[in-house]
Amino acid sequence: MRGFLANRSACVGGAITLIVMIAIAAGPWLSIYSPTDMDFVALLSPPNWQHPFGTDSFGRDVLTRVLHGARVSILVSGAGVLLAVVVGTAAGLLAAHYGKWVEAVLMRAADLLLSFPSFVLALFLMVVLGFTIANVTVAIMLVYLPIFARLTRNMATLVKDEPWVQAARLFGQPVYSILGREILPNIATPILVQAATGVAFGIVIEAGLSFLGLGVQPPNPSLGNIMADGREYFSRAPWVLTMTGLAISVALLGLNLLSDGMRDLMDPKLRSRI
Amino acid sequence: MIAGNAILEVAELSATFSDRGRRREAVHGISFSVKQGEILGLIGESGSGKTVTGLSILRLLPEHAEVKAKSIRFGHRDLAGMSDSEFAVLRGTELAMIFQDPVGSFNPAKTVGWHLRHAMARREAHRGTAADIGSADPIAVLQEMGIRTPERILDTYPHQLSGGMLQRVLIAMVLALRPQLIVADEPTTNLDNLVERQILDLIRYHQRRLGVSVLFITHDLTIAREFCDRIAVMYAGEIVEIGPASAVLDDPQHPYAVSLLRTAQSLERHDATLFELPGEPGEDARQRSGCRFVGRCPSAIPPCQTEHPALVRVSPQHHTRCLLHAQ
Amino acid sequence: MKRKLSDVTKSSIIYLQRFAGAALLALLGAALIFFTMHAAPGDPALAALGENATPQSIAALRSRWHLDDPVVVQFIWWLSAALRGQFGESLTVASGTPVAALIAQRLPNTIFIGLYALLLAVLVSMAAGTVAALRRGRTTDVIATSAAIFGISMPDFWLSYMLIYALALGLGWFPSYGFVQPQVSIVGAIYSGTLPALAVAAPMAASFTRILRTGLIEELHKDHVRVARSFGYGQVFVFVHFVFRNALIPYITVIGLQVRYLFGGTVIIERVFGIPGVGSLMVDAGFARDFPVIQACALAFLVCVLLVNLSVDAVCTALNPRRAVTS
Repeated sequence: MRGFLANRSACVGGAITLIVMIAIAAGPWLSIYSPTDMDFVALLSPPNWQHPFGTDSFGRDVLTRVLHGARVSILVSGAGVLLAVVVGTAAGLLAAHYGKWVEAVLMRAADLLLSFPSFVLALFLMVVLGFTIANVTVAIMLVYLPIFARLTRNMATLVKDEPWVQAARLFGQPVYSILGREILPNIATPILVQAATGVAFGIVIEAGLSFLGLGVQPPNPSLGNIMADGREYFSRAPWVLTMTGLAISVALLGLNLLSDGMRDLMDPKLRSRI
Repeated sequence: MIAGNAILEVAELSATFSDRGRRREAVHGISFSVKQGEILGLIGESGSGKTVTGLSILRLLPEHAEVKAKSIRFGHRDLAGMSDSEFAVLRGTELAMIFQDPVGSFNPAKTVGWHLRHAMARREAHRGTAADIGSADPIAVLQEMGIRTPERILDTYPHQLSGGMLQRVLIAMVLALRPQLIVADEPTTNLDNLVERQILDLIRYHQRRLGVSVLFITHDLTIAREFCDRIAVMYAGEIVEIGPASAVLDDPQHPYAVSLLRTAQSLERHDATLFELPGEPGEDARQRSGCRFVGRCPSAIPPCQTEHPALVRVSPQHHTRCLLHAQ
Repeated sequence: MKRKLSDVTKSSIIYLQRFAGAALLALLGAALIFFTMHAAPGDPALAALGENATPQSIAALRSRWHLDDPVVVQFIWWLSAALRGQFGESLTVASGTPVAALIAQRLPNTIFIGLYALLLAVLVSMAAGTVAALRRGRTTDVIATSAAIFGISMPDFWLSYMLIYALALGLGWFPSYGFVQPQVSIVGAIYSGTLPALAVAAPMAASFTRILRTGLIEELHKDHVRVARSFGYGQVFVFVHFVFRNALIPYITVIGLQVRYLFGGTVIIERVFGIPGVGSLMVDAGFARDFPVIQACALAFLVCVLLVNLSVDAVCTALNPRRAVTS
């Protein structure tokens, strides 16, 4: 814990992430506006005390919309990554444990998925499945599935020859128990770190899809379609798009700093040397 | 072997490391000299400061290390007063070093031949007035080291060769530089015994042939006795005994040196219980105001706690840092 | 680097193996795309002919396109046509135009922006990473590292708008929309392509800088660098051959991994800047449910990624002596 506090990255990142989380959780309740309240008197007004992020072309408070949209984005991205972690980790563990052709097939499949640019894959899936929120989750899951499968398999392969795992095997522990209780806890940390970055970039993917019109449909706010809106009158009123994107950047910055800090802490090589 | 004047005279060398505000003195004002053509052994446990001493002479310590000396006379120059750029000219021409890990000493991306050719080119560019700079043919140079397939070796990458072979090549490279002084930091510690013997014989043969002076850093007494002309024993950053090899190892005066001898003898006799000096040279040994060895010394007397002993003469050429011998 | 005949044959075999592996992935990818597309709701014949088409014309089109055959058979029809360079005709986006022609028109633009972005990212990251590593811990490093972290935290399409606002609308240095194709004018392409390339390059430059910086710092501490210094080689020489050269391998590996994001990024950027590339084609086709076009675009991206990965693999192998012989 002291190490955590000493690491600047982790601290700053953790602080930012915490603030963002609180804002998203509590913000929509605390805000005096609703995301669909239209104030025709104050159309497209720049940021001021009443509207910290300004208003859009319908007079809606941008900050409130962003907070609501962020909830949706995080839920979608989080769900997608969660599914990817569950399925991917299971696949990776099985690949590492059984080896031979099971591993070969699973890893080739993962390689195949990884050969597509992430966004292209997501786009393709949206077209095939239909432009709904649930499908964005599925798309994100499929983009991250191979990443977790490979990560888990690589780490599990390193760990599986450790003495305590071999002991468990000798004692006749069932496979799922070995995988779940011996191997998994020891490789959990890098998986979690990767999951954090995954949620971060999943948000960007979702925003991108919604920005193009392929994800969350209006009037439901999502970070992507708020920006799509903002782009229509960008030269006149740049703040809508700018503030929304800035908010995303800050949140991602926090997550990246946090996962950087955690990675530093996990790395035994980074102690001072003579 | 004729030992002439001193090629290297170090006076009060100190090296201190600062790590986030904490200072740790690795070497505490040591003084010694290496005579021309001789092999001076520097013996000590890990942490005694022997490696740091070697690195200090070549100015290869990291940036956060502070090296001070009253003077470091090398030939007719004082190294201590030189700027970094003036000093840089000496590395690889007059001064050279052999490191402990042969495998890590090579650039993994380049062939062995590339390394050797560059070392030879370094010498070629700085001939000065040196008469004998040896053969200009890399193959001949490797053959001199007893390597039987030099053509093949030149084309291989470091990861394809054994530690012993790599150390031979490294020695060939260092000798090809024709330096005046070589600092050898435990050059055989990572090798197995048979190879170790061969490498040491090789070093000694060429050292005698070329008249190169060597500062030989090691923790192994047996090797030191065979190999070195004179020996200095280090403990907690200080030299506690210095003199001819036979004197220091057969008739040690400082209690630490005595215990080293007894441990070695115990090993040779295959005692059931090995003789062992209790305790470890902890960090606080350096903090003490009295003798640094007092915590573990079996012969300590009360003044040892407060009075820091100076080097005293036991016999011509043989000095020890112990109050018991102060007359 | 001298190579023997057997080494050359060994590397050729490895390259062939990799190429075959990539070809297999391309085939599997094509199958995946095809079968997934097939699962999509909607009747391609209906989409092509429009809602007012007669049932007979729809049935005729369906039989011409083998839409009533089992899926696997359909795939084989599609594959045999594809291998001959025929990917069908666009249904709705540009009715009747051969898809292959559409893609051929647009691919150069996408590749141009992609390569331009990659070049910018590499140049910036080499400079920033080197400076940050050499000035580690000092102000320049902190600035570079912070910029890098921020760089990977921004959505790239947001950055495009920031760039447009600042450099196009604000300073008027670059156009905010539109793209001059390289066939028409190279200078025009470079000029109009700068902002899009910058937007795509920024997150890549950020992660490249971090990897290079970490790699350089690690290499700087390696033993062989100290050995090289002990031989007295010049600072620039040591940096280039011992430090940078060895840090290149993880650096280039990461470049290979990031290529996926490179192509993904171009999709939205093309839309933002109105660049007629494969990405914007895919988006348009997606809205219009133009299946042949969507399939071909996805396949085009897949092949691009595989080709870049092959090249990066080849470069890494050439740089790393350990991989060249074993693998």
